[in-house]
Amino acid sequence: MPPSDEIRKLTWIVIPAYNEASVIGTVVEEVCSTYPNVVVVDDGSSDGTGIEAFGAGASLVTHAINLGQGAALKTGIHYVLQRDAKYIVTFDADGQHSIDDVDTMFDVMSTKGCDVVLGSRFCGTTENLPVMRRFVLWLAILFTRRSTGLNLTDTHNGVRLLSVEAAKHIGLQQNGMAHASELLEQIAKHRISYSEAPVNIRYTDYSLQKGQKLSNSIGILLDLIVRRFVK
Amino acid sequence: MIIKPFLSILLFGVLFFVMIQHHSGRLLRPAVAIAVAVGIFFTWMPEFSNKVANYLGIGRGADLIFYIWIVLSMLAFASLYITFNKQERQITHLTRALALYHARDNQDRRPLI
Repeated sequence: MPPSDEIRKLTWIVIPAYNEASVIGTVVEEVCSTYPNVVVVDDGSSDGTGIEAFGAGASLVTHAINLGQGAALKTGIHYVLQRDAKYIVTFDADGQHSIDDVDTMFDVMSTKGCDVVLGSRFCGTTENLPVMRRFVLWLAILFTRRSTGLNLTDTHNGVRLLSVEAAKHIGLQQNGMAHASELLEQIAKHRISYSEAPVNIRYTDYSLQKGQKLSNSIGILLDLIVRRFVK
Repeated sequence: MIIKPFLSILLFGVLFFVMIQHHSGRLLRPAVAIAVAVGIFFTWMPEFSNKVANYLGIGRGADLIFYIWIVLSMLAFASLYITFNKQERQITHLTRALALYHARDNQDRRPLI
């Protein structure tokens, strides 16, 4: 059952974006058509991403310099926590997600009674996922299962639904892409109730170009390991 | 023999550079002072480095100095990494505070600068 208008009004969609001017307007318009509260965190873009997002109807928070997706997400969550919000949805800026999946996630949240719902492309449908990307994701799943003990099918999916109470417990320190693993570590650490929901991912040439490569994932892994020793 | 005065001047130069830094760590100044003193001692009396190396079971004095150099380099890298991380966190806090202060609500129709 789709969420009520009241729930939609209490939900904020956080979209971290870096140099996404060509797609961000369309993404924001699509999201705004069902969820009115959208904040785009422009992470030091140089191509007018912020102007496009604001013009399409999003609230805008702008980092003066590029810090990374993890830092942008944290800024977006800070922004939402200062507002009258009950739920926070994280959403990628490159147009690979569908906002309809968020309705399904709300359904899972109310059915399972959990505080966090994580999107999983392997429970849903995935179009044009390359073999190498599948391998990188498999490595990430393996690492996260081992380090957190969470039994998940997809650990690096950008769509997540969090209750505000859960978001308050999650303090991201990782500025870069390693925040996805860190977020799961926090869920495990604070014993936040979670569940997965199927989401559909559209891999386009554009999103594949912007996505993670194998070399980046090695860097992410090193980041996670080093940060365990250096706080 | 020209290398000995040259190395000594270079080591004193390093010591001087570290001493005039206002933000050098509490441990860095004495550590560099000790390293420079040991360096100058071994430069002018290399036979002692052989004796110390033999005592430690390393063999040659040159190998001893090489190993010490590797250890000091690793410590310097670790120190730089910690400093870099700290500064990165400070920059992140600052950038975030600034961004939130200047945040634009979607109802705010003033033109973006």
